[in-house]
Amino acid sequence: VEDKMSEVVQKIITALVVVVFAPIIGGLVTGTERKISARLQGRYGPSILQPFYDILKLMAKEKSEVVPSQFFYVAAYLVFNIISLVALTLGADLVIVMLIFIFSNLVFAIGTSTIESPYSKIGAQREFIQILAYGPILLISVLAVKIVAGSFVGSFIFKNSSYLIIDLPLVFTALMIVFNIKMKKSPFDLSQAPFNHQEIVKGITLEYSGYQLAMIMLTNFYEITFLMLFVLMFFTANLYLGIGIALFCVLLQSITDNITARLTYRQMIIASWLIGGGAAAVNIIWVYLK
Amino acid sequence: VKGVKPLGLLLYFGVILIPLLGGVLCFYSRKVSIRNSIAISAVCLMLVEVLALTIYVFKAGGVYRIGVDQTLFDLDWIVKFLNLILLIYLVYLGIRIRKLVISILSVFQIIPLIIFEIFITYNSPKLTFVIDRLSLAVMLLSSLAGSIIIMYSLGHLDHRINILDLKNRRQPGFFMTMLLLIAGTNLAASANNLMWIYFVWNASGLCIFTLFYISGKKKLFDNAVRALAISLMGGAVLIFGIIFIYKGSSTLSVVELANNQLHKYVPFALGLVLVCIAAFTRMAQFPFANWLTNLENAPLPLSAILHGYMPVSSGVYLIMRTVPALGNTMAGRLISVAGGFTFLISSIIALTKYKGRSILTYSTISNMGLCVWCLGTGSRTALGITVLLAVFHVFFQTIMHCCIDIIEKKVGSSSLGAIKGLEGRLPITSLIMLGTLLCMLLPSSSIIASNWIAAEITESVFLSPIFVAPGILFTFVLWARITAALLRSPLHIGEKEKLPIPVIVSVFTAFGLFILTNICFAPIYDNFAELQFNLYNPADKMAITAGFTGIHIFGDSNFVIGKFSWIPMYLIVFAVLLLVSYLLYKLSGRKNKGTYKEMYMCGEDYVNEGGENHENVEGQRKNSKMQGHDKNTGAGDTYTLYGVIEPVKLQTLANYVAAAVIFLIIGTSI
Repeated sequence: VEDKMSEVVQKIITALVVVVFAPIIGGLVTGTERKISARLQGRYGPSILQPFYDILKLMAKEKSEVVPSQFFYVAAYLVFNIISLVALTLGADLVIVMLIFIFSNLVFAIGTSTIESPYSKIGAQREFIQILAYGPILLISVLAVKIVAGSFVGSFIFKNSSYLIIDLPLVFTALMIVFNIKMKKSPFDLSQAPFNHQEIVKGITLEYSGYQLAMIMLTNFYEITFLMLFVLMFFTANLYLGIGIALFCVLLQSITDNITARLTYRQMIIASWLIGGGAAAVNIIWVYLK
Repeated sequence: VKGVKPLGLLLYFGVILIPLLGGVLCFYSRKVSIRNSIAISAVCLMLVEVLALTIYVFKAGGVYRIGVDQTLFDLDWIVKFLNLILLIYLVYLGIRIRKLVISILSVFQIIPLIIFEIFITYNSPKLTFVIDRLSLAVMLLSSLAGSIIIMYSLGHLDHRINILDLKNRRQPGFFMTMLLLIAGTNLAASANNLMWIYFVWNASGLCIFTLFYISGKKKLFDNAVRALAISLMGGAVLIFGIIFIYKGSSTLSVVELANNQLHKYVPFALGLVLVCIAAFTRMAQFPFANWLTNLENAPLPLSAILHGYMPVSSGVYLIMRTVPALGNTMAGRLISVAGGFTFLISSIIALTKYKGRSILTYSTISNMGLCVWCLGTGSRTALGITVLLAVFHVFFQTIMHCCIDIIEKKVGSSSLGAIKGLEGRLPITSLIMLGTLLCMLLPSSSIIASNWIAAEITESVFLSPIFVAPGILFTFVLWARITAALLRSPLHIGEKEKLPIPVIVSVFTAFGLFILTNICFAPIYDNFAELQFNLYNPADKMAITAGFTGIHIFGDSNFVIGKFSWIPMYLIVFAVLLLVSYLLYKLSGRKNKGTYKEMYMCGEDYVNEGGENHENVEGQRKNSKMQGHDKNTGAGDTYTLYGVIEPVKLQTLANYVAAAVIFLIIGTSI
């Protein structure tokens, strides 16, 4: 009984650590990325801590919303995103983790499309399209990880030190598209284009302001940490290398962001299914044939 | 009848004879009130009998065998006679409605049937009826779903608003056909003779056509004929399959099929494959999907049957009985690929549609594709999980079709653009729809769990991640999309919804059963799936345990490859929902009325001071709100893949590919 109790306590502590530190990592990474992006454009750029200042500023702002229920969806978005991250760190089943992750994004899209504003509706529709674009890649990559590692259970994969990247290079490459979409970087910045891209109407976050916008930004930090942790799974033999690669993946986005143009949603679906899905499919086929 | 207890016999024959008798009585009773009460009592009695039979058989150890003494009472000749009469009637029907294709296809069946029945004198199995857990599951499903549909129709008939488009003189025919269909399904699920199943196959095809004829939708007549023709084609494939199976194994027993180790023997393997392909036609798999998609505007009782228990009770059931015998052969794997392909493509097509009925049609096709995918792998865990997928499918489709029917009658359209803000007009219907959709979406629900299991246990099959992973995601997004189309903020509950009592009873029963099956994941799996398929002897060593500690998937040598602690998940999800709702309540309860802002309209709602009055501003706001909608298409603001992918082109392409796969399946089995 004591063993079980200590196990539970350990799990709770891990969960708390994740909940506290994940947004810090996500925020720092976002700040660095903004800095690099600014330097690429010949600007000085904001401080690395700017994302946290943004959140603090938003929290202090006056509360203002179009409909009361929009809080419900934003909160569910944040909470389910945290649950998916905690489940991933606690070594839960990867398919379930991914489904919760996608569910949290769906809740946000559903919530935004319930607001009777045409522009935020278009943003919500684009969010649906984005989920359709990156979701298959996420789930396919999980199944691919199982084929090589032998189990869907995250804790097993993390304990089993190996380089999954050797067997699944194309799946890993396809994950870059997910990174790109989730970090809202060009060419896949459809539902919203934050920071250094200009647009007339703000997309999915249009009708959110103040603490609700802060919650959305916080969720984005959690999402970035989630994806970096997923990348780490490909480098369990050397976690330092994994962390390095994960950081590189994130920072790579500022380069693609600056050298590519935004795609239309049709092009995006086709591109991510054909290139991302195709690459992952080819990889899976060669693993089977080996 | 030898060596069986009379109670079980009474229960069993009650399940088949009560709807049969009820149907005939309904046909001959002239008064509406008497007819309705006969229908209700037949339905209720049948349900009691099915439940009692289930308990009885479970107490008897899960299998109940009835052997009929052939010297006294020759059932073989009865089925032979019935098969011939039915086909001759179909030939006559084809001539009468001047559709020669029906007659030709019927003659095409009569020839092999006569050769088989008269010239090859076959030995029928010793046990005429075997009721095992799988039969019970199918009987329960068909009886419950069928009763719900009958109950629902009663409500609409009762209201005299002619919602069913039934003329009064056609109502008796409607009840008779429905009840006969249920009786037939129950018979097919429990018969141990392939010839009985073959008879019910053709009879149910005819029943569906009759229901069409009764509903009097003349526009759909050609499509109904096409559906009957496809059903007859399936029948022709089925009879050839049965003949080959008999040639290979010299038995027609359904129960013995699964344990046969003869799959290397050509006629037997070919026969099995043909039976599976016949089942494809009923399940509307590509390339046989066009009949179902053409019938998407079918009136209610029919649409719910076509999408709900019909593909399950004759399609999934047939494959479930035959596919274990295929073992780990290439043909079996290709059946799986065919299903996976249909699953993926039809879930993409569903996302391009915006009419409620079209979406449901393609979701049926895709869900049946997932079932075929699982079944094709032939592993006992996959077979087990298919039972659950099928159960959820039946109740989901029944509820959704009833709701869509109510919406169409009251709102005039079921397209996604039209159901926005439904809670203002139809609070009960929208509540039920929303609840059902939430069950499909919440991460703790059993539907997600069964999809998850399907993904994980079939992963070992070649190509499966490519089909299954995107397919599961697309269906997930599809339900989210409908939820998004349905919800509106803020909610306005306007008028009370007035529904006839039988409609309320049926819809709530269906919803309750859906929730109940959702909660009882573990008992259903244990009782109806695991104990049933453990009797088989497939190659895999996979196992699922479902219990209070969670669902665990074991690979070889008890190695856990997947786990899902669903009770903590349930608790977390509901805690989150409760907490967030409480916070919402707290926050909106504060004195913050001044904090609400108008939505951002890009200056389109700008009004000159003193120029226009307030009403005009509201009107303009509404107008500019509508610009987000596509009024012409009815897609509302949830277009997702609408306009991205050409569904017709995609389906045509899919049909060619699927036809090629079908030929590959046949080719590899020879």
